[in-house]
Amino acid sequence: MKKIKWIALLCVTILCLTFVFAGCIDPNAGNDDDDDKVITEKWWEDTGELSFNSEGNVKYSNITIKLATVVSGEDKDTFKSIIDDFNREYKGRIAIDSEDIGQANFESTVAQRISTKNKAPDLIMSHQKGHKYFVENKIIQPFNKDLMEQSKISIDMNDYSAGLSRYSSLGYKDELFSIPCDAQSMVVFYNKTLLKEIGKELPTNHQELLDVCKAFVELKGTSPIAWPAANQNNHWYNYVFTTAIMQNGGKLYDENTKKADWTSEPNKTAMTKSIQSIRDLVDSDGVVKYAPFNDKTSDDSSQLEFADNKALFYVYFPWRIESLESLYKTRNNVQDVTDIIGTTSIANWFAMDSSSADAGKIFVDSHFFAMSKLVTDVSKKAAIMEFIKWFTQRTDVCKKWASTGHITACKLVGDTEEYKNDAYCQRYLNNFYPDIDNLVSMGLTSHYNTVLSHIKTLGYETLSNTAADIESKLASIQKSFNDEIAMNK
Amino acid sequence: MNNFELMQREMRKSKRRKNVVGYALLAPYVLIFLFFSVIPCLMGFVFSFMQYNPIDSSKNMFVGFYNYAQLFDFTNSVSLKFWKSFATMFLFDIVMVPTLIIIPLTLAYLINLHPPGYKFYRAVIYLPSVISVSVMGIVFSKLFAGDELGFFNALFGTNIKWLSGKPFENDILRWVVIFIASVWWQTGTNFVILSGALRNVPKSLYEACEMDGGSRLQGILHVTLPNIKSSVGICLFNTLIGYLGLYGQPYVLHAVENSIDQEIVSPMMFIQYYLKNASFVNMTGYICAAAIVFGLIVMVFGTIERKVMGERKRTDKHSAAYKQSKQDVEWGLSLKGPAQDVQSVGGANNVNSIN
Amino acid sequence: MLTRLTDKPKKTLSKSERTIRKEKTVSFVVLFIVTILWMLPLIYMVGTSFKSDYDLQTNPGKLFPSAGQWTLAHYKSFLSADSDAKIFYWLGNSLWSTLLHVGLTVLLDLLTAYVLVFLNFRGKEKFVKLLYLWMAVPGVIGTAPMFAIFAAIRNGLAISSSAGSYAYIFFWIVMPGVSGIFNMLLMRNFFLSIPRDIVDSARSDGASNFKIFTKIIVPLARSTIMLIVLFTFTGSWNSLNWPQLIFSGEAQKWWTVTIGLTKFTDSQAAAAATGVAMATSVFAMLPIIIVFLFTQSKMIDGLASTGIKA
Repeated sequence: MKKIKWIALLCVTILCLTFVFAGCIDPNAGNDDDDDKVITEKWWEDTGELSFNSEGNVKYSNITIKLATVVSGEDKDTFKSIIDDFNREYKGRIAIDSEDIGQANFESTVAQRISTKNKAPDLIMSHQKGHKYFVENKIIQPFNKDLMEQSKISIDMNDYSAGLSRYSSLGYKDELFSIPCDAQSMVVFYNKTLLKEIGKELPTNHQELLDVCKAFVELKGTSPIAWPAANQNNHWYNYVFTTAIMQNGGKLYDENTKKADWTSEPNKTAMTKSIQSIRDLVDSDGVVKYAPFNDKTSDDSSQLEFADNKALFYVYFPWRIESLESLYKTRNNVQDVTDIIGTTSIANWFAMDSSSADAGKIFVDSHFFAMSKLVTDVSKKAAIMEFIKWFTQRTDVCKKWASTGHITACKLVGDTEEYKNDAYCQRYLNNFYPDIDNLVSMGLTSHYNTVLSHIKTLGYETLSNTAADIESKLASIQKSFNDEIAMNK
Repeated sequence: MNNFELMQREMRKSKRRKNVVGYALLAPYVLIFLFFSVIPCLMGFVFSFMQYNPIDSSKNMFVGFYNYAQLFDFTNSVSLKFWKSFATMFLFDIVMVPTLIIIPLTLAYLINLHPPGYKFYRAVIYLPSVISVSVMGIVFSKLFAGDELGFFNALFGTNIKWLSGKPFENDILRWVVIFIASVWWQTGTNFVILSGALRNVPKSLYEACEMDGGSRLQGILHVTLPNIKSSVGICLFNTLIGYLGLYGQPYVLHAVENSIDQEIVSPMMFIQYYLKNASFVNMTGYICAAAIVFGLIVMVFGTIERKVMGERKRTDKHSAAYKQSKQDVEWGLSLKGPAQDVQSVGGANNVNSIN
Repeated sequence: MLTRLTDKPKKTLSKSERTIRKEKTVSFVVLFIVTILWMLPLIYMVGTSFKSDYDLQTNPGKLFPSAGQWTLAHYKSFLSADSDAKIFYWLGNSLWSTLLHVGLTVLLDLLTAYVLVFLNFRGKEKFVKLLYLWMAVPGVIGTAPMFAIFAAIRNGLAISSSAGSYAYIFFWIVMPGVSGIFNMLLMRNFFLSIPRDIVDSARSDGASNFKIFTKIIVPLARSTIMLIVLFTFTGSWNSLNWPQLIFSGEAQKWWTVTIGLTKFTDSQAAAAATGVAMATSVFAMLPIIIVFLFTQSKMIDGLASTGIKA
């Protein structure tokens, strides 16, 4: 019994002590979120020296760069062939060893590998939404501007899409952490024949879209918009719903606090309008809705509806082009669909105020390049920059990459006639993304998971039940959002 | 030095040698046990008092009871999710646990009557227990798929969205599916144990009851049930602990349209959700605190169950040892259960092998 | 003649015999129906794995493929080079790691239980008491820190080779749980029930501990060993949580079967591939079903009768 008493006393003492300390510590102290931070202590190094060849360019000898890319879907093969092109062109100098890791656990995997220095990649190509997370956990290092000058490999953010390049500093004053490469979002295919049949033009704003839909329903009796099944995966929420929010001037989170502020004006009205703009489509008059919400069971059935001429618009990722066209050809026994299937974008579809500057915004996922903090040799760093410049600024490369539906983020390429007149771009990309300065992505939050999961909840709660009170949903989901952010600092 | 002292010294030496031998042979077990069971738990305890970031160690700091305070702060939506998950889990468990005793017991009773072909039936009923939870998830998500391609929908010509979380409130249909799937999947183990227990009830007791003029029913009540009490107690313990750590089934039979709230339906899912995803690294300390609180609750339940189903105090040491060993052997029969025991460190989460 | 006298007249059965007959019929009927229902999901799984895609779309309500719609396409598709035949890697990984785990558990339990029962040393009883107490501690507390330890040691060792990483990860798959308390105590309790005279007489005949262990104890413990084998095997094979944590981000070829199959339940796109999902599951189930078929009678009898000596 004596022993037990001592043990008990010990436990109680420990508990009391910890209680005492509990009050003194606030784990969130010292975590400032402003986006103009200055780096006081470097977590990376520079070693070695550059060597130059006779022409004054950097000389590389057999440098291997391990690239971890998030490209792992239908565009994987084209990506591999582009890498092969580079390796051929730079044979003996630079070799890229690329590995693809799915988006689902890209950030976890790469962060773990770099922090444990185990199979760590040197160069990362992933979605912009994860990059703030990388920098906050000291996984990546910035590109050295002096090194750029020295090596004459300069990459200037003014040459890139304004909408995307504003994220490249990741919130650190005058630093360049991530370089945008491309963008992709949901795009629209439409049936030219059917459009003519109902005697309408392509809609240029929300009201016109509603008019077109109405006319289509009157004539055809089926839903005009076939878009991704919201209950199948998160694509609809991550691209369509977010675009609707952007177009109405909504903010997913406050830039300073990183918390959601959906209940104070003007954001409250903006969020409400975005939800209403979707409700206009999924809860329209009559039995036939303009667009389904959670009715479809697979993305393939949307595609089938378009191919069977039951839908006027098919909204999906651009890399479905081939399968869509071949399906249409099979179902309708035609050889050429160039005059039947047209392309346009979701710009201006949801903006309730068509004159607002935000009306043409499109929410995208954008691939950005970033360098692991573990790279120290300056020749390797120069090689990395050379590769990035090659990939993002070479027109032929961008054209090849464009064929998978990724539009270039670099204006140096995007503004050239060669790019614009490329068959693929002409037919598709130029229409998919009419203005690359109007592309927006997740931005500078390291909590993109929280953002997306709560946007999904918000969309689900307000759209699966179109009578739900938007204001209360905004308040309750915002609370959950902010609590999670607070715990995760 | 007389003989007696010499003898004493010899005895001491041999005792020491015995001790050394004993410790040496025990060492492997102790080392593995310490490293894989004890140390992580102690560390978890420590982490729960810290803000711990496994990736960026510069952020680690000691925060005392902060995590626990957050956990018990019911205005915090994250913690609320944790506590709400207890609610869904308990509701399900109240239905599930008794079912997983009653159905196997009934089947065991029937099997023990040895109808023709009983060996085959026994094998078939036990078979699903050996397949993994993912296989079970695949089969049942196809059987109960919500569109016209689902087996049952096609069979009955309906279009019921079994796994969709709607149309009924609170996800009821999906839980019905999980219920059916769990019964199919886990009846086997309890079934076999209880059938063994039933078989070991001495026939003489039945005959005695009959001779006293008791009916079949009375025979069941007064002979069968008391004699299988300890086996039932074991099955109950394991099923209970296993279902407190519910994870596998709702995970593989997840709601097709899921908002986050529908994903976290049990405390284990809460813990696994925030642990798996690297975006939440800063919450590691908090999750450890949640795990400890959860663990304590499980311990409480386990202790209550043991007390309720436990046997009376024994009198003399010998019969006590015998009874203890008998009880523990029966205990061990339901081996899958020992949530603590199995492969994954998070023993309680190894629902796959759980009753 | 005598026998004839004792022949029971066929018509009249005693009351209890009649009830037994009745019960047997009831039980037969009930069990028959139950068994059919029980087999349904598995039959569906096997049948669907052979259905052609067209048949899947048009006749989803049939258990078996319609005439002419039998196909091996689904099996071929995951066995073909295109998808890297990952199922074989998964099966391989699961198989060897589970067998190793089971082997180590059994050996360790035999050894430790023997030490705790047949050797005498100071602190023996206290240790057993401690184990009993620790059983109440749920393992979930240790998952997160175990993960942290896993990562920290990996960082410290700075393993660069693939083989090294693989060995390291599977070390952490096989080892946790080997020192499972229940298994060990089960073995101990069985040993406790062995009559001491056998051991004592062997001792007095001069047999060393090792000899007693191998020649006497181990053969006796066969049914308990089988028990531990069965349960440890299934537990390890089906383990989901912990492997899910430590495999995240690793090459898919390293996964175990259970983790690999969650691909079919996780994403909707993969889940839509019904035929392939079923084929892969059938294939993944084969090893454990084979084990089961070979051992089921012995196992179930062993389960039911071990240790309970009235």
